[in-house]
Amino acid sequence: MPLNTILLLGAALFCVGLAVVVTRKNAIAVLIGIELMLNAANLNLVAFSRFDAVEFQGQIFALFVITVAAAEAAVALAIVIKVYQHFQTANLDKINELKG
Amino acid sequence: MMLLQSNMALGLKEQIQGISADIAWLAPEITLVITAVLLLIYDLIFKENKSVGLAAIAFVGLAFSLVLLIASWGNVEGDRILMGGMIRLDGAAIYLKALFSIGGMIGLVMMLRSKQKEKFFKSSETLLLFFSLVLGTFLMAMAINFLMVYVAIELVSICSYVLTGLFKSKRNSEAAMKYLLFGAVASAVMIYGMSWLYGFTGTLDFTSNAFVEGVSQVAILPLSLALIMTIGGFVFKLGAFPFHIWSPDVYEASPTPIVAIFSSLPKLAALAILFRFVANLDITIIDWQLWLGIIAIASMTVGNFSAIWQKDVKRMLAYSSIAHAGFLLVGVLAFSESGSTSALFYGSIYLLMNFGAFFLVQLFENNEGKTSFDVFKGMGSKVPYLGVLILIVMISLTGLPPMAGFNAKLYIFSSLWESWQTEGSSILIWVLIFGLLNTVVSLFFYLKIPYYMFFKTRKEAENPVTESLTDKILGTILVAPLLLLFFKSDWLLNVLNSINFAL
Repeated sequence: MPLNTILLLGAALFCVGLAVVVTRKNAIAVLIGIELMLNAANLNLVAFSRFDAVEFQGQIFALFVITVAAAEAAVALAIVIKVYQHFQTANLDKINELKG
Repeated sequence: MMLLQSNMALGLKEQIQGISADIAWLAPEITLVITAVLLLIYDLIFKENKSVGLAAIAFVGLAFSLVLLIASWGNVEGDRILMGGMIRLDGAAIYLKALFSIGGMIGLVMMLRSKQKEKFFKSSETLLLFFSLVLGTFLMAMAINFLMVYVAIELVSICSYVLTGLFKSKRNSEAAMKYLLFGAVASAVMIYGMSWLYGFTGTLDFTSNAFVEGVSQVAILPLSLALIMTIGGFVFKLGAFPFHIWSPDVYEASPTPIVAIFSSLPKLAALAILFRFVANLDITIIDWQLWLGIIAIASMTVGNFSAIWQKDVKRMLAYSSIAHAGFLLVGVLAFSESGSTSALFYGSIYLLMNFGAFFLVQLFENNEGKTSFDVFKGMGSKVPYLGVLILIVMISLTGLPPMAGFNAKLYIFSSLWESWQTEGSSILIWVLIFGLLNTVVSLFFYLKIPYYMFFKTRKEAENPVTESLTDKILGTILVAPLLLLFFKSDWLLNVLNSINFAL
């Protein structure tokens, strides 16, 4: 596959992810958007890795991103559960006790 | 990159020998990891009264890593690239790491003096996360590779999310949620920017010549986009405008000792990364001074003007830390040796006064269970000694003599003035003007606490005030350096001047 196609796919994924993060009200949906953004970066990294003088740098970076994203998702879901216990909702507009 | 390059050039055996030789230089980090493991084991073996043992292990661990750092201070000639080009150990990194271990120890003392002490030391949970956070800041202070930067920032971030949401309350979980969503989006944006920079240059080591060459050949628009995205992630950890929105909520809801750590350690570590990243790229490629100048002006102004209207002291200090992030950036954008020295000086003083402020606020929080300004009404006559300590810290935060905060601001602005005179870029003079105006604005909200203490009387029934001798002594120890470093600031400056900032 040519590089341009992959980069365009990555950019599209990133934009879709950002749009989901900005527009959706549900915490879980926002997390899905964040995953899309991270995977856009992974696509780029793997695609660019092919042109690297030293091979695999980008691919190894992508592996790290995937692993850290999994850890982050685990923490995120735990926090969403906690929020749900307290607020009975995962709607971000209704979780607004802290103001000032 | 160098790891893999040399992997091909050298054999695996030499490679492993090189890494195992480097491990000796990472003794402070290894100490932190071992301490964390010991905490875990202690927690599993003993069933009751764990708080003394846990606190002792944690304190010894941090103190030992501080000793190791001080011992390695004289041994590092120039700088060392370790772990196959992942991290760079130089004077600035060692200084910052020593500062972080001191900060960590003060944080531990704050946990011990907190009213919620039982929650912190019930199991090793909190301390384990705390040690991982300190380890992350250590790595951030040394990282010169995008992969290392990402992993270190995420280590700090994920520990911060959990620490925010660890205690069971509605407010904590809400703050953790907001922190996590902002943080995850910021790091996703950062990693996307990094992936483009990797594509442009073919290297992840952002201090290498290949990186600078690659960057200088790219058109300005895509390069600017990628750099803005990457810097966005650093600015989030720095807590500066425009990624500051999470900090007031997180600061208000989290326990005070944790907030004191959040507001100092990751901030200075992010400053170190930003400094390393910016310093290597030539100003002719990208107009850093304009970008960073705008961020600095916006952080100072937004932070200070929002702080005026706050009713909660911790929220006020959150906005004040946003403003201080702006002042810290001033040292970076001066782009000179004296600018770096003054930024480190400012960072050290900021760490001290921030811990001092949060420590004293916590004493009143212990008493009343909340941190609104009303808590301080009429306290000046009840606890005059603590009142004076708070006055000193607040004057230092404003940046007036005779406190060290004044010297910090003086050095940072004079280095800015110097680079304006040599370079004549107009953004520098605007930063200077806004910085001075903001210092005047900050007078209003910092002195509000002493004003409430000494000039207001409270009408409602009072809680009996407890003022223990231990707290007085600890408060004095925290505040004394602020006075001392005003009169003897050359002590610290001599140490900082011996650091070689050249990359």
